[in-house]
Amino acid sequence: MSAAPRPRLYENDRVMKWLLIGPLVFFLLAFMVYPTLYSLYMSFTDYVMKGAPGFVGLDNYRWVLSDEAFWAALGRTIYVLFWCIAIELVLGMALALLLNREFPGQGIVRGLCFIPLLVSPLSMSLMWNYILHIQFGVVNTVLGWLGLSAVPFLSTPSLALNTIIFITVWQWLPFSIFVLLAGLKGMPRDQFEAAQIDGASPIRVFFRLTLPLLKPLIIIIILLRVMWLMRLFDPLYGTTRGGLNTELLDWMIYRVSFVFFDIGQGAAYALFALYLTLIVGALLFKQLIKAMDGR
Amino acid sequence: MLSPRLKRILAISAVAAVAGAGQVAAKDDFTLDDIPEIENKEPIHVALEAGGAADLIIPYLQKFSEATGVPVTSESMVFATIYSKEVVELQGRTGAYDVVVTETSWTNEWRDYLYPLNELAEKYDPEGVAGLQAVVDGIDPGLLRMASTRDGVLVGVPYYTYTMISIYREDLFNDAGEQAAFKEKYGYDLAPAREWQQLLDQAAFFTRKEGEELRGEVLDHDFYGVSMMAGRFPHVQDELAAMIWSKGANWASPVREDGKLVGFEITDKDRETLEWAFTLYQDLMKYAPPGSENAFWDFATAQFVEGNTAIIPLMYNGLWNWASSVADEVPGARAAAAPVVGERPYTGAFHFAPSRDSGNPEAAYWLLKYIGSYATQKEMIEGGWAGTNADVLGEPDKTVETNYAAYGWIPPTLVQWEAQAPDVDDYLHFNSSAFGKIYEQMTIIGHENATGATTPAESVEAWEKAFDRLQGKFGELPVN
Repeated sequence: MSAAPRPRLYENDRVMKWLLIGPLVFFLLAFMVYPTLYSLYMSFTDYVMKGAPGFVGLDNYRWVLSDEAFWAALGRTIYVLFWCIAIELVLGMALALLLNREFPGQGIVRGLCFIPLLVSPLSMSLMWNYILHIQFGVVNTVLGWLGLSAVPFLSTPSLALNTIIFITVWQWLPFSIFVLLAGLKGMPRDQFEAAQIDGASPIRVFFRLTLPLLKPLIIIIILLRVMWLMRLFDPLYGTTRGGLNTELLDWMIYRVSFVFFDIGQGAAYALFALYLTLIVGALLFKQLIKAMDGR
Repeated sequence: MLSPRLKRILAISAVAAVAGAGQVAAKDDFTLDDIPEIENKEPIHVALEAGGAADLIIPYLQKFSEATGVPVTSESMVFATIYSKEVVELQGRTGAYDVVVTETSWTNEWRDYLYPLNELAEKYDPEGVAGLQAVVDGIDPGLLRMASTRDGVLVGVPYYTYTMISIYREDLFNDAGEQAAFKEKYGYDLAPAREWQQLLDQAAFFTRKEGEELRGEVLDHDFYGVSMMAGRFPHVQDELAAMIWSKGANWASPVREDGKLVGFEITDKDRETLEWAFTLYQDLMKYAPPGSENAFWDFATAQFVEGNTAIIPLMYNGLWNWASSVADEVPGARAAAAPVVGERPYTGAFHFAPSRDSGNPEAAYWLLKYIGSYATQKEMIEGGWAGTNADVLGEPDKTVETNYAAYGWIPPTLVQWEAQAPDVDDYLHFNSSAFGKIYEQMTIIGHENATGATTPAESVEAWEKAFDRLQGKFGELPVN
């Protein structure tokens, strides 16, 4: 009687499973879990890049909670987050609906709409800094030709943060447009034809049919934008550098961690931001699952 | 008719020139040919500031490399990045850089990571410490203290300075009509300001609307009295420091026992002067062009060159070259330089310092000596950049008349260095080992005050809190 052939390595499900998932698990442990846990450890220390870290318990977190600059930065971050997402969704939807129609040169227009996403965020912030400059910028030069007063887009506290929002929206609007456009393109035609036959108005079709069908994509846009906007940094680097009441949470974390090198304190700020993002992310993710299940 | 002020500058310049001429005989005669065979041929890596200064220094690094056979590589970083990058590499003891460029205000923080130069001289220089001293003697002592000396130990050689000077439109100040109008309004002669109130008067006087006249010509745009650098950049702190120091006060004063520095204290005089300086800054902002709230040196100088401002009261001397080109941009315009009010400006410098973790401190030492030497500095200064060798700067041919664009900054710089030298030992900037961090916080406080986000009183309060915390956390000496 001949012995049964030994299964080859790739035929062993258990081995194969770990072989395939192994690199990813290693990557996650080495570059995500370990740094996060190390940051958590650091947030309980007074480490300032000199000597050994000393345990300080919850002191760094107490400081975060009592720090007016932190709350101000968080408030600004939420303000930016709200307006960026609101504008990107409303404007993105309008433009996606427009681009969903057939018209001559649509390929070129769609290509042009995509360009802002391809520009490096840092170059983009420097570019807008010059374009919007009160004295030498092209926008104010044109306003001058039209007989209008120059606008201090990036040199007055009352406007600077809104200008940061504008720059951010300019860059990220195409993301919303194209995600929503992909959703519109993939919609089932029969339901829309039925609505048309029933005499539903375009507004009713939009609110009763288009919007509900796009809900999962809208939640994905919000989820991703919340995560990205909590880390908004580049538009500040090339423009105000956090001045004129524009310091956002990520800039503050950078300043404390990599200018002051107050690593313990910086870790506490960063983890606080992470907790907030995780809470909001978890809530949105729950909504996404519901929306995908058609609930 | 020369003003008494101008006469004094010319007199001091003449003295400096004569002294410089005297020193020429005593100057070091060190050149590349005097470097002995460097045994260690390991490449050295140099950290540099990106931009004009870096571009100018790179050819000298190449010359050194060719002459010694030691490969030299360099890494240029924008100013905002250098500090962070060097903290990581120096304090992390990575040895990534053999020679680092440091700003005057950072040296104290990093002294534990930099080689005392005398140690290297004793080890590698056949002439010993005397060989190094001959080079160092050419550099202004005050500048040497600020940039490179900590607790009496020399840890680097400054090679490029950005001492603040005042730059003004000489054509406006010399215009008979403007002079008469100014005298009628303020009751004294129009001349480079010696008091801050005079500067405020001049700022207000020259601020004019489109359609009004300036120098007898109708303006086709708004014109402003002063260029300021109120953005959230280090320069706003530098401007405030010049105001505070001019009054014999400090951001925080040193506390000494038996001549030894034992801590810092914000005295009542400091507190009063700080509030006065914050108020003065806000007052000057009324006469600065729109956009100054987010400006640094490029905007401030550009305003002047474009013919939009009359005075840059506090500007780095390295910018003179550009500022003086107002003569090419505005018909009939001409720039002149004067000491800043109070003659105690922020005096910055980049200096080269050898890292304690360098794999080739021998080559690092010789590179420093070469860059700081009389011959190299002379070449650099005559090439139009703001070198640090006072012997060269004091030479009789370094006058506005011989080379307006290249040398216009020199006379006021020398006057200020001399005036400021006795005070520099008391400046917080060059005594606190936490100053890299404190500098950043001063910038934020200064900017918020300048933009009106905080009142002068609130700014003082914010400074006291911040200093207490930062010095306590990062510094070695206590706040009393």
